[in-house]
Amino acid sequence: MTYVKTAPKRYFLEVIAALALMFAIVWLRQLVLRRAADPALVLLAKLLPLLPVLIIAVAVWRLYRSRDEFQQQVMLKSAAAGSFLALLIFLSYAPLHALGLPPFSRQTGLFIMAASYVLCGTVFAFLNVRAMSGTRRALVSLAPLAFLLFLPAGYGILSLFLPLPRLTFPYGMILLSAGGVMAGFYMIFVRRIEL
Amino acid sequence: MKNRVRELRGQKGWSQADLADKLNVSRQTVNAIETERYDPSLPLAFALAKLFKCRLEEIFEP
Repeated sequence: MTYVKTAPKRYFLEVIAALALMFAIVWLRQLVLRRAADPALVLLAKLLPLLPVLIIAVAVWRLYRSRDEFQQQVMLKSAAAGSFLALLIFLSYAPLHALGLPPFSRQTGLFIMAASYVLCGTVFAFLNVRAMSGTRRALVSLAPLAFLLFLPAGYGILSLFLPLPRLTFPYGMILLSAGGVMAGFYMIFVRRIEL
Repeated sequence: MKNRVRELRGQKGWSQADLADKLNVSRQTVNAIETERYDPSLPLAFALAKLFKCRLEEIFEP
């Protein structure tokens, strides 16, 4: 098996590991911040979530480097479209805010950016898989990515009707991590990542 | 850009996956070239020409 083929599997394993680490760190961080008095330990707990973020950044870079020319182009187009979509949402929110809508929190901004990237990545991947294997296979293949995208949104809607904890930033990260881990396992063991 | 990659691959009896392996690219890329959704770079176009033992203009036409 060539490097071009094995790279996605390695990428998903790295991202799963990073998301599992994120899950553990967010939980541990809250525990430490509630109990620890040592300023050095508090600082470490606050900085620790950067570690999985760094791992994900390296994983994305390694994936990009290992892709062939067409796949690199698709990755770049998808990232550009994600950035552009987030920018459009932010820009169009300014006049809506002037009309009386509540201001964005920093966390909402982060979620919108992440969701824009996942949405555009899913759309580009869907178009490619559909061109290769048809609409049905594309839908089945990309179900976990769509699930990951709609997990926080679905939780937000459910929390309006059910007595669920509010989707704070840590809860959102935990939810995204759990969704990411599940999606990664699906890609590796069920779909077996044939790209 | 029009190309004869699918036809030439068919003559050799290779699948898209076989051709992808020989070029060290993904099947996705071979499919995109064959369906004319993607024009390969010069290095990849030359690799195709070398593999099919023909000239570039015999594979691609503007």
